[in-house]
Amino acid sequence: MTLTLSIHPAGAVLAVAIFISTVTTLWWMLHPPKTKAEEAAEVIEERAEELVSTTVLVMSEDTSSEHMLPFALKAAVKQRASVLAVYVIEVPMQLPVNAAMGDQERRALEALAAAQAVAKKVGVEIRTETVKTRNTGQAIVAIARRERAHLLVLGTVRRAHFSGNPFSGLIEYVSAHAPCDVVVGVRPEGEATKMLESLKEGLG
Amino acid sequence: MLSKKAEGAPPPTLRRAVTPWGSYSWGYADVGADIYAALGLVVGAAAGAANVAFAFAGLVYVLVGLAYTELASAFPVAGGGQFFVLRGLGDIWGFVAGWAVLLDFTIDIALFAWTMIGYLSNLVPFLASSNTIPHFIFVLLVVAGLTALNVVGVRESSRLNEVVGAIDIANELAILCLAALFTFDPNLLIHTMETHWPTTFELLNGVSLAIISFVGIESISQAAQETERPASIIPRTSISLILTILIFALSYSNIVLGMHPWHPQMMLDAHGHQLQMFQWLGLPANQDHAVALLASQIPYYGVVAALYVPLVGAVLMLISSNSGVYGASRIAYSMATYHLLPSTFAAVAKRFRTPAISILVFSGVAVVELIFAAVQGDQGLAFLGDLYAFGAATSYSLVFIALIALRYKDPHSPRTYHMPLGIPITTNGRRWSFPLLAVLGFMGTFSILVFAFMTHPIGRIAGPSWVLAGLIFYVLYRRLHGQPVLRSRRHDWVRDQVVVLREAGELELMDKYVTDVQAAGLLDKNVSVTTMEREK
Repeated sequence: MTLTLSIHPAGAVLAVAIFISTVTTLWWMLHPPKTKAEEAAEVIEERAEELVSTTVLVMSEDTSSEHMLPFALKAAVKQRASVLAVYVIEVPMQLPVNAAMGDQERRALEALAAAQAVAKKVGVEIRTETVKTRNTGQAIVAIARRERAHLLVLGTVRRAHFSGNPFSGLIEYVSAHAPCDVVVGVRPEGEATKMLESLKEGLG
Repeated sequence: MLSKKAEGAPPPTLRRAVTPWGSYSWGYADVGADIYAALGLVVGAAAGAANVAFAFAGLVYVLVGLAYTELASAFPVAGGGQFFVLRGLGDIWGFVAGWAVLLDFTIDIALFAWTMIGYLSNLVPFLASSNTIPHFIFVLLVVAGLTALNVVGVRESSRLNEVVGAIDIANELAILCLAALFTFDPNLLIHTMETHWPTTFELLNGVSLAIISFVGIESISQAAQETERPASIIPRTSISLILTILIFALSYSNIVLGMHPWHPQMMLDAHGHQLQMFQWLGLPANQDHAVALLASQIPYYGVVAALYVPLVGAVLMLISSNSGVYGASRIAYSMATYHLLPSTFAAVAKRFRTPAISILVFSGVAVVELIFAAVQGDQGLAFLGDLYAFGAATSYSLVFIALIALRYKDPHSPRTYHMPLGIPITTNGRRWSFPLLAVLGFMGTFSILVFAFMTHPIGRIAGPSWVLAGLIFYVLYRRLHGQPVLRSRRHDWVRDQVVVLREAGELELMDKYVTDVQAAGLLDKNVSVTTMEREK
């Protein structure tokens, strides 16, 4: 003999009451109030995210920023920031600002494609942009303002037999005028070149 | 390698690795399994008043839980009830409470390893307790495995509790909600209570058995010294555990009394007479797997439940046994720290930072208890159950007295939770809050102790014998080491409390405590916390 399935209203109420009371109790337990130290840590974490919410990696004919790509990506992963890789081409005054710059545009494409490939491998969303301008420094500062960037990343190299300041006028200008923090990575020329080559090989 | 005190370096301490869910799981691992063992026993004894027996025991359990919540959040150190009684009533009473709790935890190891194999025997009949030697060997293997796990470290065994606890809560919610939805009839519940009300003796027996379903809140206190932010977390995990277990126990007992089974034709006694659900579960042959049988009588769901609920029950028994290993070692660690047991029990293994010697010794005691139970044949489980009720009622009664004493003697310790219904009174010019509920709680636990003596013949002999043997050991140990026997050693509780709060990360509570005790003249204003830590 098997009974037919029937539901008594009191049984239904009891079932709902058991479920809700148990789940509510467990939820309350798992959400204890935070200590002052934990609250402070959260504020700092939020602030840290704000600080690097957009990272702009700047590449140009006058900079060698490729070796800073891993740093920019790593910072972005940790802080859940977005990354914009910009290649800036400075157009001479004797040409119109939108003039075709075959070789430079090709190098820009290669550098940005390499950056995209590396970013994809480490799972970071990256936007790319090629900018033509009369003045590279001004263009970088303008992009930083437009993007409301919180971190600008540039790279440069110590050239062989160089004994003075490795920072070019461009880096000095950007450091002086950027609306955000600027990180400049300096590497020996040979190492930076090797890294760029390996990036390209990896892409190929 | 074990270390008591390394020269020039601080001795290894228990690490704070237990999260809120971990803390809850430690308690649930102990208490959650109890209903699997107790449901059949209680409905068998208290019949139509099984829900009343659970309600009375549950009420006492709520009071016990509230007392532990207040004390564990105020004194977040390993030791639980033993430590509270030590602080409130002095060394010898602290020893008695600790020794009684040790009895419970070692019984916990043995009892649940035993019933775990019993539950598994539903699926593998070879393991049934009637096959004495294989059953005993498998129980021993379970105890040995859990001992090794606990020696390796709290994080590893805590993870086991967390996962299995979550699975079991989901499982029990499914059983209760579906049983309530498809089988519960309130008219049948009332009818059963009216027609099958037990005698007073049967009801008292039912109540003393029902308390078994609620033993284990102690585990949360045991893990206090390894819990993150214990003063804030423990009140929440304790109250949540109290509520969940109470919801489950009351739901089970009411559903059983008012349940229309899916296959009533299975429920016949030896003479072929039709039985009600509670009568069927209360038969001696069914008592040790009552929850699995109940689940199997839920329409449709019962088909699946009949296969997996015994397995889940067995796994939960496993973690309950595991929490016994853990709890016994922590109690011994605490007792040795305060010179109630030899200092060997306070040694923490350098590699794993766990009290390895305590774990090994009290797992050994559990094995001895298993042997005693095994030689008693059919009465083996009853022997373990009687001792379980005796140990719990003894230690809980002392904890209530300690709570009252501590409210008076140590009003400054930060209590993030107070037992409700405190009555402000003035004694010897000191104003303090008298915990009325602690008195009710003491009356409840003490009455259960009396019920256990009245209704459990083995418990009334073996329980006091355990306490007496412990006291003889205590007297010998204290005399050999030149320690006072009846009086307490000198303790600097104020400095200890500051360091405990500092180590627990409860800095705001520590600041308040330091300010209060300095204002009361109990602590020198020029002593820094760093100095106290170094001195400790």
